[in-house]
Order: sequence, then C-alpha cells, then structure tokens
Amino acid sequence: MKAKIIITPKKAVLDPQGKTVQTALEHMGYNGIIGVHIGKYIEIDLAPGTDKAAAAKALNEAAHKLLSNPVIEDYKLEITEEAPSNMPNATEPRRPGRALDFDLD
Amino acid sequence: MNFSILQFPASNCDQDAVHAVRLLGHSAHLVWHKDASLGDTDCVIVPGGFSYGDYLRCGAIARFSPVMQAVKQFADNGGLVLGICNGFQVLTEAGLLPGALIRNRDLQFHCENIFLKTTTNDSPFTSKIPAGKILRVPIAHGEGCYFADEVTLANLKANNQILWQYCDANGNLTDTANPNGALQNIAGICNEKRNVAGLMPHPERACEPLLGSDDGKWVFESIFAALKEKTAARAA
Repeated sequence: MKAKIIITPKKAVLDPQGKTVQTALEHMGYNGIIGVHIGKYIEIDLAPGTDKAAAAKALNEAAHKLLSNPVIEDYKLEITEEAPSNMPNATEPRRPGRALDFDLD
Repeated sequence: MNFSILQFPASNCDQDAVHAVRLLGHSAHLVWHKDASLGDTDCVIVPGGFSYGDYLRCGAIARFSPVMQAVKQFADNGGLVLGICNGFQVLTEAGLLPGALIRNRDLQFHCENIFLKTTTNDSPFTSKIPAGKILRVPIAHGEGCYFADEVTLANLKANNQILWQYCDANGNLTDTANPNGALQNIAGICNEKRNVAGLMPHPERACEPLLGSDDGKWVFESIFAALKEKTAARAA
C-alpha cells in the first residue's frame, strides 16, 4: 500500500515560484495558462495489510502536524493499493542512528 | 543573566549569539537539541541557521526536537524566548508565534544590511530601543517573507504585536525597503503574552562597531532590562 500526499500553497499565499514558471511558459509560447502553483508531492510506503481507515486517520494527523503547514498550505491525501516503491529505503531495516530521533507530540 | 542558546544540526548563528550576549556582559551557554532540559536559564535564544537542512520546510523538523518541548514549557511559564532568522521560523512552526515565513518574493537569498523601524517599545525585546532610532542590522535569508491570514494580521495589529518593520534610512515603510515581500513590511513580531518574539534580521551580528553597526545591542539591552526588572520583582 501506498499513501500519496499532494501539498499546494493556499490561494492567498504568494507563490513566486509558480509565477516565475508561468512567465517562462508564456515566453515559450504556451498560451492559455492562467495560473501555475508549485507544491510538494510525498509518497509514503505502507506495510502490507495496513488498515486503510486507521492509516488515513494517522496520516491526516501527520499531514496536519508535520507534512504540511496549515497556515500556508493545503493538502490532499490518497491511499492506494499500489505496491510500495522499489526503493532501498522501503525494504532496508532501519539501522540505529538512522531513525528519526523525535516523536510527534 | 544566563542565556540558553539552542543548537540544532546546521544551526550556524549559535556562536554569534553566544558572542553577542557575552560581549554585552552576560553569560550564555549552548543547549544541544537532544537535551530535554534548558538548565538554569533566564532567556532562550533560538538562533539562525538551517536546522535539519531546512528539509520539508524551514523549522518544520526542529520544532519536534526534545529541547523544543522544554522551550514550550519555559515560554508557557512566562520565560523570554527570542527566535532569530531560522529561530523565528522554528517558533512559527512550533505554534509559539502566529503566521509563517515563506520564500522571498524574488526567489533570491538576501544577504545585506537593512533598516528596521521599531513599531512599539511595549515589549521586553524593544523597551530600551531609543525612540525614533532606525536600526541598521543585517539579514541573510531565502525564506523570510512573513505571511499570516487576514484575521491573524488584524489580531497582530490590534494587540500591538508587530515589533519591527523594514523601512528605508529615514524610517519610511516603503515597498523598495521590503527585502522579501513580507506583509506590511513585517520583520519581527511577538506573541500575545509578549514573552516570545521572533525576527528575520540578525541583531546578534550587529553588536559592536567593528562589525559595521552596534544597533543590534538595543534588542539585547531591552532583554537585560526586562530580566533585571523580573528579578527585582521576584526579590521584592
């Protein structure tokens, strides 16, 4: 299973990156673009058999507390049945010292 | 007075803060981010830098470090906490100060001297700044554009929580004097209880003429005076 989180700047927040990219696209001749908004995409691999509802609840909490800043950003969370990414850190056991040394409060 | 200066991985203004406090005649010690206690302290400074590599968002990870729990408790009990630059970002992420700091509007990292107007002397961080004095202090940041929603901004104003604003050499709050696009030229604010403050500029880097300006010392002199008053009140 996999959780996908898309984080975008809130409408009222200045997005100079989006503006700059929009200008570049216009210079390249792409017409009809009326807005570009640049955010973040986070993928989280979940252990097989994870309870979907419980995961959604926990990840919504994490998205609110850490993954996004509600003052300036909105987020969308989606949990899919897709297999975890074939990336080294998805399978490698955590070595001591590599683990994040803080707890969510 | 005894100052606790926090030290996160990739803090880089911690030593500057220690130097400034000692230069001005008080004692300072570093507190490692994994320490759960601040020790004997009168004031906490959250210094500038790039804590935890600024991963995710500036200050987002630092706020979860054990020492920040101690800082929260210290602040809840009325202790003075000052966040400088990255420290300001950490304090907003931690919810100790309202609003957020976002990317500079021109996408550039700004490393230059700017002018600051003190908006109010009514705080432990600004009380000793001479009336009408325009402070010349450096900034060094890429994400210093202060943002808050309309309600928060209205509250900041209503409660007189805006402490410093970017201005020109004559004290005018112009758009050209605003280095990062911050709302209302806001450079620094305090919380409602007025014991926690944050600012993007670096007063600790401008405390002696050798560095081009000693205007930053007024921020520290204000803190010293507030702490002295507190000690006197406790003794009485």
